[in-house]
Amino acid sequence: MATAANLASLRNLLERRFPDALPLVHTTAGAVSTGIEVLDQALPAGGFPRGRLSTWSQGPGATAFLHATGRAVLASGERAAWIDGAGVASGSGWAEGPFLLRPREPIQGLRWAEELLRSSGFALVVITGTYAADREWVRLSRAAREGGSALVAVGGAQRMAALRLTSCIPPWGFGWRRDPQGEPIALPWVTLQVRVMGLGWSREVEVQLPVDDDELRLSVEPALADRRGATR
Amino acid sequence: MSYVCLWSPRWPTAAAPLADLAVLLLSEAPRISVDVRGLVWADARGLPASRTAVALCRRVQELQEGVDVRAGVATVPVAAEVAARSSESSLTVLEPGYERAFLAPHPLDLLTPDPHLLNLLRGVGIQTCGALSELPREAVEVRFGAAGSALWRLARADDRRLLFRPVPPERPSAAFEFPDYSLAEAGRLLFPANALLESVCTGLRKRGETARTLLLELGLEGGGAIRERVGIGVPTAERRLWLPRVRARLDTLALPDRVSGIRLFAEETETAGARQGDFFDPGFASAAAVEEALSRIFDSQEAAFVQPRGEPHPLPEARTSWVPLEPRDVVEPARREKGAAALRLHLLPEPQPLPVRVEVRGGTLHPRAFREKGRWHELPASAGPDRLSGGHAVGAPYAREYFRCQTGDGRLVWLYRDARTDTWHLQGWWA
Repeated sequence: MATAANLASLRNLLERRFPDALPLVHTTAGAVSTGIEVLDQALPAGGFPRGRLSTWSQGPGATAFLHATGRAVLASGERAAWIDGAGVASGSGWAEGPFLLRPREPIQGLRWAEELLRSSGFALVVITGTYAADREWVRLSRAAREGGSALVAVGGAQRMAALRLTSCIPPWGFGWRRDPQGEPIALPWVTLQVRVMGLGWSREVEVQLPVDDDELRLSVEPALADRRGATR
Repeated sequence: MSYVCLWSPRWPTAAAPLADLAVLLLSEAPRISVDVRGLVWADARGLPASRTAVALCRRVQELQEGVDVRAGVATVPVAAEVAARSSESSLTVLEPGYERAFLAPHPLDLLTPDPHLLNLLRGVGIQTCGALSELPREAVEVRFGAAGSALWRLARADDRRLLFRPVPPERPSAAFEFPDYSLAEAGRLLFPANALLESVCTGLRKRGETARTLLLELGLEGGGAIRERVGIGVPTAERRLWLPRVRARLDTLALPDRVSGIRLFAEETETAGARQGDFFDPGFASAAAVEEALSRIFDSQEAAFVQPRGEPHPLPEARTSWVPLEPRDVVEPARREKGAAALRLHLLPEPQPLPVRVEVRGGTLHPRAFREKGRWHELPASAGPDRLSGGHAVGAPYAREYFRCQTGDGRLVWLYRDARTDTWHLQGWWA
């Protein structure tokens, strides 16, 4: 108790004496909410921890949930950035999502991530399609801690992460709509299993998500296969 | 605050021949303009007007020997014009405040009105400026229209003409000369450059502007100068952001001669964005820090931040183009609505060819498994085909059969068969 009181008084003294030296983000800032209630409940403190590295294994759901998290961050008035190292983001949905960065080389993506994290101006920074060595993730983790941002890496960096998430669609989770012959014709939704693991923390939830048809359907009638054009 | 009007009965009433004369008069007054009616105007605001007028007349007489030039000086252009055109003396100077009284006895035709309007006015007995100016404006406007109203204003020495455009304020600049010594190494110029930057940035902030490009001019001892442009991704008026860029430019600069002076000025400037501050808005509170980070990112790649734009291309891999985002959109983001999560389509930049095992279902070829990174992946379910063919519009024929496929390890991938070559490709996946 005495140590805590001393720490608090020291902090007060520093704040009074050196007001400019205060970090922009205090450690009292809440976690970065995903905007999806059931997922927030599975995450410690109700969201992605600020100042820490979290990882999400590659697979279905990672982009869906992190994109929604980015939108929730922007809706709260903060900034969110998405570094698309592999250049695979596609579709008009990204106009409404987090700020998208497309580096020409993966190493540039890592440099940008460090800049954004250290700036303290981004609540969430997501890196995808960039493979880096452990020491680079350590460096980025330090930048995240300095800036108070939540850093999420999609794929890789498992050992460095404070929080590890995986998601998959179980075989029964594909909500195929079928024709009278039992052939799949459309996939309006899927059920995802999301597992959250951290030190002393393990949760698993199921979330049903729609499948984005943006720029996908080529047929005139969405429920029917398109028989136009190609020869057989 | 005076205008000088020069007029001569021997001058032609066309502007072009006087233009050459006007250029030569610039040695006496900073701004000269030529009127199509054969008048030459000089801007004597801030100058001793009478002396300027005398100097101008003398200069004209030097250039055009024997010409009878007359000058009128007044704070109102129309009064100066009438003074020049009506007076018998070579110089007429009107005291400020007496312009209307001066105009009153002069005939209306000196104001060069429309001949039709002048006839109408003469028809009702209005011959002089004073007679017109005494009438109520409404009465003139009702009877003689907008042209009559404009002439009425001129007759009252109310001249709203803009003879000279406002001078744009000079861009912030700073210079430093070395009178007693010169420098041979560009690196040693950093110290004076830093001081100049402070001055230029302060000037920019006072004007509410930011700079995108600075011009660094190094005066050489043997004459001439080197000019180097220094740019920044995000326009700013922060010295600490400019200094590393100026330093980098000086470090790589090869000097052909010793430098005897340095000058820095803001070349491309923009109005600094300003919005109402809100310290409870986390985006606003961190805007300055973000601006600094972005300037480094935009320096490394101009189109770093992008947003999608839909293209009317038939092939999926060419349907999205990326438009660079302005730094200001990131520094001061617009608040957006929360959105529902959905599995999103990811597309490979180029479709990736891969081996596929197929089966025939319902008379159609369906993928049963595909090989990726040395492993075969079973496809328990696939929906399709969605067919796409054409080519006249894009210059290359294509025929594709698309399938959305569920993989055995719980992924959703998008494959297509190229019907022209009978090969299979991975177009993308949902994640």
